[in-house]
Amino acid sequence: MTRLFFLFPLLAALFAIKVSAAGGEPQVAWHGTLKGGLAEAARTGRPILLVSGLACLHQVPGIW
Amino acid sequence: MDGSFLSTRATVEAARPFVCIRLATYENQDEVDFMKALYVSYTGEIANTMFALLSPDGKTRLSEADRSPAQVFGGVSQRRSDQPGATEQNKVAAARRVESMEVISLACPGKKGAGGAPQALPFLGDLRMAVNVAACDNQPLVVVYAEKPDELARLEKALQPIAWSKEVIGRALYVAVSDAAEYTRFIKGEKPAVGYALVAPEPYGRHAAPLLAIDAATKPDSVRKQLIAALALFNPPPKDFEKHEAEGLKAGIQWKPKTPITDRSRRQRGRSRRRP
Repeated sequence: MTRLFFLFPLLAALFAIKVSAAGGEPQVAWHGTLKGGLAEAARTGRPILLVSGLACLHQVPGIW
Repeated sequence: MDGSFLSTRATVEAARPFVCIRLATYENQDEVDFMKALYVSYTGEIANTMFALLSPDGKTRLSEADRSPAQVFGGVSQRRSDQPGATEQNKVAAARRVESMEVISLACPGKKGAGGAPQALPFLGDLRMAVNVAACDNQPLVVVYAEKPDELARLEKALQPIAWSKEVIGRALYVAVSDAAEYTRFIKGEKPAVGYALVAPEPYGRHAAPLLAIDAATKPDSVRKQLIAALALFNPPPKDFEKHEAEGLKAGIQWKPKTPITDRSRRQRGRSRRRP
């Protein structure tokens, strides 16, 4: 069973729109840990795009 | 971190053949050590941000490693984007960046047979970090929850093809949780239930509110449809960086990284000295 926290909007979306597009522009799908990312790169043999960033600005969270 | 260099459509597409890893700086000593082996600033320590393209084993640099794509490929940061010629410089840099990534992905096409297997979910390390990163990205977070390891593994596996499908890829973040206390500490208003929860972070990423819960017994096609529909409805306003920072400072909202910050700006050093 699925619990819906916004029953009406979700049902409206399910039945009124074609299930093909999500909100916002798609972004890079980031692995969030070195261990997980390296394991996936080793498994697939794909190259690595590595970035790092501080998950706060002047210690205020919620912003890179 | 200036995300503008890695959020253009061309760069996002060029990044798809890569395994993309984004580390939160100063949160894990092993990761700090790895970064330190790739790039250190003039202080001999890692910087707040880093960029590099690496071989599949993570041992060989396929580009220079530096603070950001701008240092490697050129371009002007978002904060200086109003300076004369910035738009043109960024176009040239973006083309150079995309070309380099395309050349590397052709040279490293991946192992034969690996392309057919579902990719691992791109998990964040823990729920505290995941909610903050979701707030940083202004994106929703999919929490995969089960206390039993085999159940968690089953849920992860079932979600893999959905997470990497063209309708869902790059539109949400992911974290696995097996501890009910951790769940209730960061997800407000709903008890943990085995399955998937799509949650929305509050702006400062201290906690998140549930948007949708999907029971573990739900069939994959239904999971997919519900997730796509819920993601389509998630459309928060963009963040005003300066306002966010100012209001956060005023409210005393602080994030404490798990390892020491070694790349403090002059402003940060001054603020630290002023604190009792």
